[in-house]
Amino acid sequence: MFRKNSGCERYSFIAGVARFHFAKLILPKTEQRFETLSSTTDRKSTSGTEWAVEAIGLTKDYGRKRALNHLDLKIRSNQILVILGPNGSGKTTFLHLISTVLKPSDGTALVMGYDIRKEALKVRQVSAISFQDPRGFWRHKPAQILSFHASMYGVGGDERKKVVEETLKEFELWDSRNTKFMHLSGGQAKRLEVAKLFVHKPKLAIFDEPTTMVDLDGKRMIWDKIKELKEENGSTVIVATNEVREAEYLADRITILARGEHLVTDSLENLKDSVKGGDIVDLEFSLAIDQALLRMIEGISGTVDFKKISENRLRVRVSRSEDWLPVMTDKMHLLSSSNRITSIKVSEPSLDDVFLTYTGNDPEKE
Amino acid sequence: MTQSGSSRRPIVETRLRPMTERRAMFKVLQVDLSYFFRTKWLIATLVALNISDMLVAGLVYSNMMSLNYFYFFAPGVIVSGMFAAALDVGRRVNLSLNEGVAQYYLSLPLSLDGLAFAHLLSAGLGGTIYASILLGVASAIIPSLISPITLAIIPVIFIVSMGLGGIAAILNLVSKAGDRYWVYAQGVQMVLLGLSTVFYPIQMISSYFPSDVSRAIVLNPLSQVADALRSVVYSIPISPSSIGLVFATSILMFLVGVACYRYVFKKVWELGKL
Repeated sequence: MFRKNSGCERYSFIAGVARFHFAKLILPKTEQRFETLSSTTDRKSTSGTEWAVEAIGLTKDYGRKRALNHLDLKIRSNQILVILGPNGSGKTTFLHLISTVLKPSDGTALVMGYDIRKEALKVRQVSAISFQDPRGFWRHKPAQILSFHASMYGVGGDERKKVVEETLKEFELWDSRNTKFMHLSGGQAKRLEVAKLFVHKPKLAIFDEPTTMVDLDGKRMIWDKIKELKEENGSTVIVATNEVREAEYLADRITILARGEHLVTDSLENLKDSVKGGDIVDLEFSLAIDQALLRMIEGISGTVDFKKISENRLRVRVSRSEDWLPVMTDKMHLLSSSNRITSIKVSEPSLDDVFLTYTGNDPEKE
Repeated sequence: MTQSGSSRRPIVETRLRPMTERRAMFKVLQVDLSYFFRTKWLIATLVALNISDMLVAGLVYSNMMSLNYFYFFAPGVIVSGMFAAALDVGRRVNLSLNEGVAQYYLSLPLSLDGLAFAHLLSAGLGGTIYASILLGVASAIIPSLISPITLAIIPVIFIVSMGLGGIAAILNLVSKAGDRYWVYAQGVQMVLLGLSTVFYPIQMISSYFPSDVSRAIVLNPLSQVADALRSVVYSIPISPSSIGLVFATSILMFLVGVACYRYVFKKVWELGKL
């Protein structure tokens, strides 16, 4: 069975060509820009449950510096949207705007149908943000900080006590429950910052780099908890990160921002497909590669370039291997040659490649 | 490592119920006030200074001078303690601006007005609780302080403390984030406590200052509270007009404080900083 896998290479023999035709039919085109709201009527019709967030020309200036430039973005309910972008791309500004921590300079956003400018209090009731830098009362202990946070969202009495205890245990903060916030390690403080959102489980949970400073075990635990928030609570989750592994693990959809502009939003699969020449197809033939075969390969739509690796091995760079391979195999049959394909290896672009393509920066170095 | 899925909780309806503004305000007030009493070194310094002023300096001076100076001095110490405790709200807001907690507050279901009110109420309560402790200590030495009139003065202390919170708000606004707040607070303390009858009788002050300044010194709310406490100490009836004046000044300062804090938090909302 032919398998396409991200980040690693899998070998298989051609046996499922039809799969590519099917994939071609079901995969949507990459959305270079998200749907733009055209009228007030459109806005009202989408302010119900379908869209958790609708940013409409959202702009933020810090003095003369524009941090976010007329951003139009719609985020579907009950999804995990990961925002990737280099430093200064406007990720944190966007999160602060939709959580009403910042006021837009222009434009607005609807959060669960509530306008962040006019109905900030309602927005705050349905959403919560976990900041990039942990924000806590320095002289309070983790249990007290979580208890305060829970009480602000109406979790009261015995229920609050129970939830706080469970959350402290889940986030491995139980042993540090009597340590003041100012004495927690960076990783512990970050866990506490993330844990805040799990004591009341908001309908819109916003995480700004949720696993920076957290150890590897902790990262996986936090990712699982974030997924659980979506799957069990039905929350919409927005995560801003520079960590590609985090994006790949969590994302239903990915948005890439750069210089305050919205570059693209799509599924990971579609984003990878959108990288021109990003798929590398290594072909091995039973006989030596001749000129007719090379001309045939060159003539297939989607071939970006190719290189002969050895007498019977060829490396072809294509845009979408799932479109290109069926055409190539069909044409192979038409060639009056006894040469046959003995092996196909497809390597997909990684999310790093996607990021580099759109921004020209390496996210991990940001 | 705790397994993330080991203890699944049902979604409880209460978590989805929005909290009322009043309750949210109360929670912020509670946290802010507790922050004052958690600052142990500050409390220890304040208590030590105030108690030593009251019990050591006051009693020693009483014996050195041929008048009962302690009866005059103790209300002054109570007022200066109230002043320090109430003004401390500015330090806490300053810290919250520097540490980013102000932005955390802005993400919570609480309006800018609610946040401003919570801080000023916390100043009122902080000043009242602290002054009440000192009042209790003084009452052990001055029997006339154990009186229903003393209890009646406590709400006055609360209102004045909220007004002092208003002054702290002005200082926060002027000093922005950073360390300048401390300098301004010390300056205000020098002026308000220096130009008052908290530690000196008006007869003495008026011999040093022009009459207009002396009149302003008498109208200083700190002078009014100290004089009201002295009226209780010396069993002299308190003038209702002076209490009315204290209320009016304090409420005005409180309203100015609400406006200032509202402006401070609005600026943080608009610019991300003050």
